[in-house]
Amino acid sequence: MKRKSDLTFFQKVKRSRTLLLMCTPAVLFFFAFNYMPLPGIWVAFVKYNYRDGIFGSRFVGLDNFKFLASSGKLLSLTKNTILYNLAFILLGNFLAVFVAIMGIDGEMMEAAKVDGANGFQRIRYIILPSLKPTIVILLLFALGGIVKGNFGLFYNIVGSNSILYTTTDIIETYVYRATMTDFNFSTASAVGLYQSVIGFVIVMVVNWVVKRIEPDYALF
Amino acid sequence: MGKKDMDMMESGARVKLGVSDVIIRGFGYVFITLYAVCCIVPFIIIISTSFTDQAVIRTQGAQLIPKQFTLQAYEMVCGSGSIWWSYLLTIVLTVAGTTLGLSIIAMTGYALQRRDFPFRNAISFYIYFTTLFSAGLAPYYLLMVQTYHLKDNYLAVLLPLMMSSWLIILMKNFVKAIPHEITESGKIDGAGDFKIFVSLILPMLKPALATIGLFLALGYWNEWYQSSLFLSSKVEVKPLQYTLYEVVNKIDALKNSVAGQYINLTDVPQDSVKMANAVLATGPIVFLYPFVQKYFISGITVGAVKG
Repeated sequence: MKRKSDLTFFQKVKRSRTLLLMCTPAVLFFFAFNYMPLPGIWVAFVKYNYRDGIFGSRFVGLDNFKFLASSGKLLSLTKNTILYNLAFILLGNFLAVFVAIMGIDGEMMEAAKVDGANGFQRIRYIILPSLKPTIVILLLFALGGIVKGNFGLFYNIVGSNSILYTTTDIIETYVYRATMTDFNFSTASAVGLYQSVIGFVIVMVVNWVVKRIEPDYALF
Repeated sequence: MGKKDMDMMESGARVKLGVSDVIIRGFGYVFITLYAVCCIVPFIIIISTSFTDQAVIRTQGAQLIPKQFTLQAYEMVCGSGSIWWSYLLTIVLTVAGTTLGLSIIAMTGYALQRRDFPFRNAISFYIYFTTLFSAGLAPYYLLMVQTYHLKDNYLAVLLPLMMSSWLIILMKNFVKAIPHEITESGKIDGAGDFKIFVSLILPMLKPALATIGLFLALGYWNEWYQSSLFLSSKVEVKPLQYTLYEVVNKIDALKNSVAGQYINLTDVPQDSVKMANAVLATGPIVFLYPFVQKYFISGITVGAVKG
């Protein structure tokens, strides 16, 4: 039998055709709902109108972004989104930390108890070190999603109360209104693209830093 | 909780507690009690308000125990009949979506952790990448409406919720816990990959299927976002949570409208209707928890490991 690396692409496909077929529905799914919308990002760089569609509308370069930046909208949306997220990071991860504590080996605690460690010492020397990986990974996820706001919360509580927008409008609610109420797809897409790019850069940078300090904790 | 843990806790309780243990336990009990109260009180208020007379709510606010018991709100909500169609729709969506999604997620999760699958890393990255970068709402909306023509189509609600990269990664980690030797033994006995998956792996994945199935089912049951995007007023029957959302909005709109100033709205049990809707919409899914709870803690722990 040949070594795996010696096989041609076609042979690899043939040998693993069942496994490939098993992955096919998921691959098609992500293609249809996550990759197909990507070319549509182009709408952020045009002045969209229905008649001409995304790729027929007039190209305006970075005008949509410039307008959002100069009106201060982008800054205030980013500020609101990030500040609310920072406030929610602690609350939201309560369950995950609880579950991680449940997962700590009970015998380790017993052993410490037998050796005469008191409650605070057991927390300091067993529970906290055991929680370190969980907390680091949770923080990584939280940082990665720091520009992704909680749409349901803000949309349902604030609703269309425009008096509150300066302090409660987050990126998600702004994009939703621009898309569904104002049909302003170019502006909505510009804000969405800005959010995606910032999120992507933050994940990459944080992951790179973590990898240098503690490779085991890096996401990829 | 396993029997071993129970024994340990019992023997721990019999040991004489040190000062530090008393402080920590005391703090723990106080904290957990407060947390539990904070979680439970809103539920009690919702249930109680749904049974309270509107006049009492208006003058005295929400109560923990209904002061004037009435079924008026439930009569109003159920009387129109439309909520039962919403129920049916949500149940159909939940069952169909969870079944389909769960089978695809399980198959993919198994294939992606097979060490002898040469495209494992490429496909894993292809799926993981979607969490790193996305096109955003506007291009997605345009694609769904203009290219796929899914406006006012229930498929627009059913399909997007069927899986997520996070759930596939979770499933992959579950499958990893099953020894590779099981697949090997199946191969030696001459079973194909799909046969190995169905007959050997799937029965061992019960905790995974319960956990991920619960996530999926909750996702469908609580769905309102895709409905708000794609189901316009042309669609008569909408998923349960979105129907609830519309009822709340309609009452508010009526209250704020010009007509609202001339109709005596104090007769409309608006607050109790909202709460009755909330009770009816949350109720059934709560009964799913006891069935999957025993698998649940182990399920979330596996997800905490990166993969």
